[in-house]
Amino acid sequence: MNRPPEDFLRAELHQALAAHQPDRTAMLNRIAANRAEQTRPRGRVLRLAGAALAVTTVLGLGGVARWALAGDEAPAPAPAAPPPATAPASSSSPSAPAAPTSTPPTSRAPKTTAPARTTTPPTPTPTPSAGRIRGLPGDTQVEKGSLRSESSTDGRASTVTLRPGADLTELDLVIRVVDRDGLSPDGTTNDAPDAAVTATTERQGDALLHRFTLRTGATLPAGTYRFTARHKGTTGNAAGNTYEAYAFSVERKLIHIYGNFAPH
Amino acid sequence: MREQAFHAFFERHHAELSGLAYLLSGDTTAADDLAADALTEVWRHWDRVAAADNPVAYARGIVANLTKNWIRRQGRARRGLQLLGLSGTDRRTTGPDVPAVLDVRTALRRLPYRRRACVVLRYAFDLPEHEVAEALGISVGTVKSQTSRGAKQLAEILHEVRLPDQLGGWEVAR
Repeated sequence: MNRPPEDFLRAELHQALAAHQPDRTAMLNRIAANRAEQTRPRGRVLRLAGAALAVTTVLGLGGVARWALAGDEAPAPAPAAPPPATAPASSSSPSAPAAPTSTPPTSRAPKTTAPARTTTPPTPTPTPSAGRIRGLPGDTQVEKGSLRSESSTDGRASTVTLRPGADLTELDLVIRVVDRDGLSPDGTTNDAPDAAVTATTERQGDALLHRFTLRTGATLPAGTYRFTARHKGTTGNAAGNTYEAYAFSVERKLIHIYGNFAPH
Repeated sequence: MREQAFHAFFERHHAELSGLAYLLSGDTTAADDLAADALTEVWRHWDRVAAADNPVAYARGIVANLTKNWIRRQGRARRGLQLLGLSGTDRRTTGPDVPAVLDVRTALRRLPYRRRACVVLRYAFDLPEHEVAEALGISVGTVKSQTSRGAKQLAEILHEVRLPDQLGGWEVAR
């Protein structure tokens, strides 16, 4: 060995590296395929919702058409209105498509009801606090998939600790504090990096809702994060205070968790 | 914006990342796939990558990890085939005494993975120690020790096989 081994190895490795010709096109294609695959599962839900929406629209339009055609004839005495179309108001189950159960009656549709059916609200992305209150004692799910949660309260501050085991691309957390005797909000804090999570507070009935939302396009890396809502006034009893969160992880899973602040 | 920035990143680094996967895995086709998968990860976390001090180091680290997983999967598959008796004779039964023209890639494959990664990044890509440490997520001290051990081992493997060849050419059989 006359030469130092480093030079020898450097030459050998440079030579080996030079022998490799990367296929740029193949790489671009694979990246495109990877990206398409990532968006597919969500696309499926959207397609389902879209299909359901299309069905309802077509059926509704059929009603309109019949109503328009029937318009020339002598108007029949209006019969009793058929049961109204059931709006897919429930937003707690994201996978349920807007059910096209509201098919128009097969007989001549009365003109008073048909047009109203042409619009159907699109399936909304689930948001906490939209339906019934989840997370009350006996109705909790503090852990789901890769996301775990804990809660604590000291009367003044209610804190939810989230521990995502995989990066989250969407997060919507609501801390619901029941207002008994003149409670007023005193700010929120969270320790998500880069101010990725913004918070809003609103009053809904007898409760204060503190909503923490991950900024669109931002990612919350796996880790431990604390979300705190503070209050002024007498808060004494934490029973009845709940939290609920929807999250979407990079494993392409929609996660739904809910719990409360009752002492264990 | 993001697409443009990512595309520029791709153009600048795809060859290097593929080369890295090639030397670490020893497989030409898998190298492109592994580098492309790593670049997909880069794209997925573009905000974080772009904000990093050294975005390429991040990408190199992903390549190293994906390649490690790939090698592990290959090993599992091979062992599975051997169990089923489908892989034919084990190449290792030919023994070390039979000379074979040893490619650098084959020699590299005999190095433990971290040593291999250190040697490749230091000597094939001429990266300074601190950049190797950054890419692999280990300390500079570890890079130093792993590189020196890996270099020694690799040089030994290569010399052992090639010394007789230097006398009489590549096809010489002992």
